[in-house]
Amino acid sequence: MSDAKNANGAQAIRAAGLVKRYQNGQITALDGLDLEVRAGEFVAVCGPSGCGKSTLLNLIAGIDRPDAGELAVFGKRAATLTEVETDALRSGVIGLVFQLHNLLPQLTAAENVQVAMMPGERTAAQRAARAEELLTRVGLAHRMNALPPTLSGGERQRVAVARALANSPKLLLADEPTGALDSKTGGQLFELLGEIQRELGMTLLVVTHDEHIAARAGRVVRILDGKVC
Amino acid sequence: MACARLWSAQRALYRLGLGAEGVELSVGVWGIRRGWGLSYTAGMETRPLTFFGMTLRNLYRQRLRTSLTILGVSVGVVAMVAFTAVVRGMWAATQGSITAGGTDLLVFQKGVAGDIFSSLDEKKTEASLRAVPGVADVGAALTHVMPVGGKPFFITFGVRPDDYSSKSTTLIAGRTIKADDEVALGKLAASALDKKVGDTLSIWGREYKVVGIFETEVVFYNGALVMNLTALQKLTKRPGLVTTFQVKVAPGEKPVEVSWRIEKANPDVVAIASASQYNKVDNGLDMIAKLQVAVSVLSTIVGGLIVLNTMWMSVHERTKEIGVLRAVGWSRRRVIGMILLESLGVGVMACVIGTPLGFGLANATTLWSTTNRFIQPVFDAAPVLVSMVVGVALSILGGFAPAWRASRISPVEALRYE
Repeated sequence: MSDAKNANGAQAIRAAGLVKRYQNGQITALDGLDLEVRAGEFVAVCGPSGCGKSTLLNLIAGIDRPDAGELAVFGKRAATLTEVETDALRSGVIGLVFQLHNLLPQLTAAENVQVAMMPGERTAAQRAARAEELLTRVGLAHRMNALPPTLSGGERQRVAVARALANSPKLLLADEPTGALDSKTGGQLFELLGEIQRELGMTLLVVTHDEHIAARAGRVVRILDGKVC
Repeated sequence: MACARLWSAQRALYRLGLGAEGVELSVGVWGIRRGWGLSYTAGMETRPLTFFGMTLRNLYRQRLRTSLTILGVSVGVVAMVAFTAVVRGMWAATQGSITAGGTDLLVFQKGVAGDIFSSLDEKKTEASLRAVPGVADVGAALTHVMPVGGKPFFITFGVRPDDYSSKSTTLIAGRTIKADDEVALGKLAASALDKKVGDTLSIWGREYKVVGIFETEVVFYNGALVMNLTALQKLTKRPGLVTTFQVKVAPGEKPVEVSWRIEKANPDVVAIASASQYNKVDNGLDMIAKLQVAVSVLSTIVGGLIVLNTMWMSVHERTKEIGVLRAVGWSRRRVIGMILLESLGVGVMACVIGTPLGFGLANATTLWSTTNRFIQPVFDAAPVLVSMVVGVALSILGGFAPAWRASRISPVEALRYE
């Protein structure tokens, strides 16, 4: 799976000497990690459990802050961003897919997608139309008004992908998106992510511990003990 | 569902390009369940979800808890609305008693614990009042509360039939009193005693003939018995004494200015021109007004604590969801807005339910003959306004801490939360 035509040379993510520690410094999740991702790239981040993959994703997404090092997303340095700017980055530039779908159970599939667009400029009707469009794209045109508990695991993750795409992000981050799915469904979802990445030309960073799935990405980055190896 | 697709103001806003989040409208009754709002959705498979619709959905999701919370807060609203209506009724009746029959001022003895304890020399005080510039006419009344016809507290007025204030009474049956063994009854009093013109009434072993039934706008008078002043003075062993004088000021004179002259000319009396001055002779009304404030404050605090408890639990249960919302770009302010709107929804619904129930409770006092002769609740905008203000206040009071807590939830921690 090539993403060479999408990669335009501009830097999407630049991490240098990234450090993140937990529990008063007793646990080091990232220990001087360096990483560069070009815009339009499809990168899989692999590594064993606890190596710092999800921590890296959280830092890039701006839902956590590094203890040391430099991190920039599309030229915006994480250290200089205010909380409002970080929120804006997450609602406009970055799309997030979690290991567990994390859909709101009281809302339908379409409404879950709409929720991600609420901070933006779209009207409610525009949000609904966009949700329809995205759910159709991920193959859930027939399940738009279904509540999450009535959806299968694969369908829920597709809704989560649609939600992540809602604001046309330039960077899609997926944290073990296939982790809770069987291999067939997981493979299909990964295929879908790849297709969307190619179609939209966005940057896709997927965290996975599955080497077979990672092999489908344009580039594989391996992390061990908080560093790229 | 086609029935949910309502044409709305929002459609017009979209046309004007004003359909941004801040100006979206969304209401509904059955729509609450499905999050339907007043949104235009023609040609769409899905329903637009508004911020307000999402809030309603969150409330509906825990409907038993939401209902019980609304019920709990409603109890406070009921008490507050009923109390406000009753207190306003008492103020209106007091004001009415001052101005009844074209009266401008009421004069009482100074320094008494309550108006009923006022005792003035009939002839001496009347002479001094008539001498005050600006006083056009004076009427006298002796007030006594005593058991009549099995009713323990019956307001009885002794009046002089020739006074201007007696002549302005509207009779609905019979005639005015003339002799000492005659009484007239207010409409409510006649009903409570089950008496009509021609019947006799026994008071402290003496027989009185009911010669008239009258009606006024003042509830105290409608529930009262009226007899000759001299007859009541004899009956109560208070010869030559009255409780109050009604004063009519001359045309062009200001009642307040005349009241100052009266008090200056006669330091032993107080002259009252309005209900707000009634505390010069009786603190009862003031005390009730203070009690009303206390009930309102207490209702707000209790209601606020109920909302606080509910919203705190709600936020705790939704930690992960709130973390997800933060992770997908919702700002802290938006999260606070969502929780506050939910608590506001509880407060407003409690007001919507509590206000008519409060009016109903206040109205119930008029159905009971023991109370309807003293209380005539006023059903105007004030109790509604009070309940709305308190509803909003307790919502903010109870919702702010949970909303603040929700906004402080770390997305990373929340996503790990189970």
